[in-house]
Amino acid sequence: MAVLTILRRYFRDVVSGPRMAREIDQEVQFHFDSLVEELIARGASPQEARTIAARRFGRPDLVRDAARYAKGVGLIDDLRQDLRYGVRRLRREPVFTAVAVLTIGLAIGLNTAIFAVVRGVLLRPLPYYQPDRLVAIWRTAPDQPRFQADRADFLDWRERNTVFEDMAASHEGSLHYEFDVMTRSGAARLRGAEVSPNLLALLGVTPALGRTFGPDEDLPGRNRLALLSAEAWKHLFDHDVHIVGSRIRVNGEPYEVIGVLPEDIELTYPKATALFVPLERPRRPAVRTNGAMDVHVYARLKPGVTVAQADAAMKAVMRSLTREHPRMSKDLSALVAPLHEDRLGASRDAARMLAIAVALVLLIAAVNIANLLIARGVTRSHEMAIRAALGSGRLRLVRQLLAENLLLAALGGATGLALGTALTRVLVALAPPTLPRLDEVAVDLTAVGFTCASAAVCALLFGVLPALRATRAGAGVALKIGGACATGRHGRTRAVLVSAEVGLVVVSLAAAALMVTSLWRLMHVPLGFNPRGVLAAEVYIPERVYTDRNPPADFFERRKRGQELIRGFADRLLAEVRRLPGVEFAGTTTCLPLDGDYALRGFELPGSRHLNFVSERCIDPDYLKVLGVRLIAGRSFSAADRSGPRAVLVSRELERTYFPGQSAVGKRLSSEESFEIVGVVDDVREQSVVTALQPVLYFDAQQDVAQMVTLHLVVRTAVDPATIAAAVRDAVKRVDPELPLRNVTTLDDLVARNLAPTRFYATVLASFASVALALAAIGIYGVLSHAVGQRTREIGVRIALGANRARIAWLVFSEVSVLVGAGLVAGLAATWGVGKVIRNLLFNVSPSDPGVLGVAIVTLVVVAACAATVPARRATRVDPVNALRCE
Amino acid sequence: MMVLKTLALEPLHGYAIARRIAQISDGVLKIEEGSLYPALYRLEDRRLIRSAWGVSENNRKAKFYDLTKAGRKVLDAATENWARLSIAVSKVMDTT
Repeated sequence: MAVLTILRRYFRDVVSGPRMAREIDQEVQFHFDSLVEELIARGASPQEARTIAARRFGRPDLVRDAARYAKGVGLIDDLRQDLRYGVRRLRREPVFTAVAVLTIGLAIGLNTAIFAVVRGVLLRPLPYYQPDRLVAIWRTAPDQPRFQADRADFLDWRERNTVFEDMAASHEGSLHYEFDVMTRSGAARLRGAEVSPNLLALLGVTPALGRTFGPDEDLPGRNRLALLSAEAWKHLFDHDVHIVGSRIRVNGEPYEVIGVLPEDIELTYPKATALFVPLERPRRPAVRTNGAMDVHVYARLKPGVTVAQADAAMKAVMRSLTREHPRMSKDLSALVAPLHEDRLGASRDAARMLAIAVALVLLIAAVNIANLLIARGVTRSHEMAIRAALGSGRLRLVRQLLAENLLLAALGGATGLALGTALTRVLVALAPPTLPRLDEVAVDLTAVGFTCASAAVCALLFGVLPALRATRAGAGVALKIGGACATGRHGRTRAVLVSAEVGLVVVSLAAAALMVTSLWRLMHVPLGFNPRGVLAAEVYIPERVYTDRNPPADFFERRKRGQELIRGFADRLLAEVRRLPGVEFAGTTTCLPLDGDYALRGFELPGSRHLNFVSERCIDPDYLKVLGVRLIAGRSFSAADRSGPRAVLVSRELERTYFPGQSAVGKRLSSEESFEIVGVVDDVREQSVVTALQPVLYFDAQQDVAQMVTLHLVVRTAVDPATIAAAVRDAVKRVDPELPLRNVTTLDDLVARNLAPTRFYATVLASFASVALALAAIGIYGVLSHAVGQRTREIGVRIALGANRARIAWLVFSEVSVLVGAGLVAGLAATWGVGKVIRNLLFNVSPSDPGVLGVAIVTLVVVAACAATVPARRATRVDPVNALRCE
Repeated sequence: MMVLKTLALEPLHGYAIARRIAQISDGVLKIEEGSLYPALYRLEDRRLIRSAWGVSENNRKAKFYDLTKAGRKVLDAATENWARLSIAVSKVMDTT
C-alpha cells in the first residue's frame, strides 16, 4: 500500500511535477505580494516592505521545498539527487567500479544462464491445456518400475475408469517407429507414432491447419489419415497450405493429410516425431495374457482427483484384472505419474543442483562486494562523518549509500544480462542431449525479470550491512581519528564475511570434487566388453523385405515366413560385410548396449508362477566375438540348436539373481516356450554406463525367435572403425540399394555419449567452483591486506622489539587459519545438506566420501594460504622506523 | 486545527488564512509562511481540505482552500477535544 502511494506520488511528480512547482511558486508569490501591499498600505516604502516581507519569508525556495516535501514528492527528489551523486562517485573511482560491476555481472550472468536452463527444463509447464491434470499411466512389476501397457490393458483400463476424464494411447514402437514417406523432395524416412484419435483433444492441442482425427477414424479402412508436425510440413512439404486434403504415400500406402500441428508442440516423446497416424482400435484378445509392452497411455484427471487417488484406483483395477485372468501375472500393477514429472525424470535433480551451485557463486560474489564496500566505507567514514555533522540524518546517509549500491547492481545486472545471454548459448551447446526440452531454453522476459530481481537482491545483500556500518560511527569519533584509521569492528565484520565465503566455497568445491570423482569412476567402470575398434550401425528392415509375395493365410505361418525372410536378409548382409578388408568379425543384435534402448522379457522358472522381467537381446552368435564378451561357463549357440531344444544364454547377473550359489548351465526357464540355458556370459553394462548390472537373456537369432525390424550391425575391425564406415555402407547397398544405414557410430563414441551428462555437470560445477575459489582468494587477500595495513604500527613495534620474520608471518597466517577454519566447519555442514540433492547424480561415490571432501579442503587451504602469502610477506617487510614514524 | 477552523466559515487563500489567524488571536499567534504552506499541502494530501484557483479581493489569481466533509469531521472532533482539554487546563490553573 505504502509502495503504491509512493508510486502514485512519483507518477504525479513526473507527470505534473513542473506544473505543480509553478503553482506553488504562484501561490507563494501571491502571498508575498499581498504581504508587501499590506505593508505599503500601513505606510512602509515599497523598498522597506519588500525587505520585511522577504525577512519573514526566509528563502522562498526553502518554502517551496518544504511544501514539496509535504506533498510527498521530496523523497523522489532525494532519490534523484542520490543517484546523481552516486554516478559522480562511481565515476571518480573507476577501478573500484569496474571490479564491483564485473563481479556482480559475472555472478548474475551465470545465474541468468542457469536460470534459463533450469526454467526451460524444470519450471515451464508443458504446452498443453491444464497440464497439471495430465498423467501418464504405466504398468509396473516388482523388479521393473515402469513399462508400457498392452493394448488390452488400455481397453480394460478405459472400460473400468472412474478417475479420468479421458484416456488415450500412443504407439511409438519399442525402438523407433518409422515410415517411408514420399515427400515433395523424394523419399524420406520419418519418425512416426500411432495415436488414439482422442489424444489431441485430451492434451488440448488444436491443429494449426486442418483438423484432428474423428472418433471413428481408428477403424480399419478409415484410418489411412495422417497429421504432420510443423517441422515436417515446413521442411519436407515446403510450407504448402494445400497439403491438407492431399495424399502422401506412407509405406507404399496412400494416406490423406488431414492437418498440421502447431509449432513447438510435441504430442509424444521421443521428440521430433514428424508423422501421426491413428492407432488402430484395439480388439480384445481371446485369452488375456501379460501381453506386450506396446503402448504409452496418457490420461486427464477429473477435476478434483489427485494423482495419488488415481494411482490407487488404477492399482485396484489391475488387482481385479489379474484376479480375473489366470494367465496374467499377479505381479503386474499400474502406476500413475504426472506427465510433467514423467517427461523430466532425473533432470529435475540436475537442474536443482545447477541452481544451488550458481546461487552459491552469487552469494560469494555478494560477500566479496560487501567486503569491498566495507573497505571503501572505512575510507569514506570521514566523508560520512562530515555529512552527519552537517545535519544529514542517518537514514538519509544509508539511503545515499544504498542508491550507490543500487547503481552498482544495475550496472552489474546489465553486464550480467549480456553475459547471461551468451552463456546460455554456451550451456545449451555443452549440455548433453539427455536434458529434455533443451531447445526450449532461451533468455526471455521472465529470465530478464529474474536477472533484475537477483540484481536487486544482490544490492540489498551486499549493500545494507556496509551502509549501516559506514554510518554508525559517531561524527565526533570519526572526525577526530581522521580518515587514516578505523575501528576493529569493521575488521571483525569482514572476517565473519570471509568465513562465510569460505564456507560457501567449500560447498561448491565439494560438489565439484564429487562430480569429478563420479566422472573418473564412470570412465573406469568395467563395461564387460571391449568397445575399441567396433563400428555399430542401425539397419531398418523395410516391410517389403519380410512380406512374402504369396503370404500364407495362417497368421503364425505368415509370421514364421517373415522371420525367415528377415534372417536370410541379415545373413546376406553379414556375409557381404565379413568379406570387407579389415573386418574381423561381424554380427547383429536387436539392442546395442549403452544405447539407452532396451527390450524387456518376462520369464518364469520351472515350478514358479512368478514373472521375472529382464532385458533381452536377440543376437547372431558372432555378436559375442565382436564385442569381446567373455563366455564364463557352458557353450555359445551352435548350429545344432536350430533343430534341437531351444537354447538360451544368460548373463552372470541373471545366474547370480535367479540361481544363487549354483550353475545356471543346463537349467530351464520358460518364456512363452521352454528354453535350456546352455551358457553363461560376462556382465555387460546395458542401457548405460551408470545403470546397475542387469540380468540379461540372450536369444539366438538363428532360432527364429521374435524378430525385430531394426537390427544393429556390429563390426570388429583391425583398422580404425571410422575409416571403414563408407565400405560398410557400400556393402549394405550391394545387398539392397535402397536400404539406408543409420546411426553409424563407434562403440567408443557411444561410451563417450554415456559419460556426457556427468561430464557436463562436472565441467559446470568445476568452473563454478573455480570462479568461487578465485573470488574467495580475492576476498581473503583483500581482508588480510587491509588488516596488515591497519596493523602496520603494531607490527613495527613487534619488529623493533625483536620479533623475527617468521613470527610476523605467523601472525598473519594464524588470522587466516581462524577465518578458514570457521568457514570449513560451516561449509562441511552445508555440504552434508547439499549432498542429498546431488546424491542421485553421483556415481559410486558417497556425498560424504572423506577422500573427496579432503581434496576439496586441501585445495581450499592451499588457495587460502597462497592468498595470504602476499599480505604476510608485506607484513614481514614492514620497516619499523617508517611504521613508527607514521604516528 | 486552527487552519481548519478558519476555513470553516468560508474558503480562503493562504495569505488570508495567515491574516485571519493573526487577527482573531489579536496578533498573539502568528503563523509563519514557511510552515503554513507545508501544513496546507499536508492537509490537502490527507483530503481534509481541497483547493481551487479563484480570484482574490484585489482581483488577482489566488488559490482558495475549502474544508472537505472529512475535514469538517476532523475539525468537529478536534474542537471538542480542545474544549475538553482547555477547560481541564484552565481548571488546573485556576485551583492552584
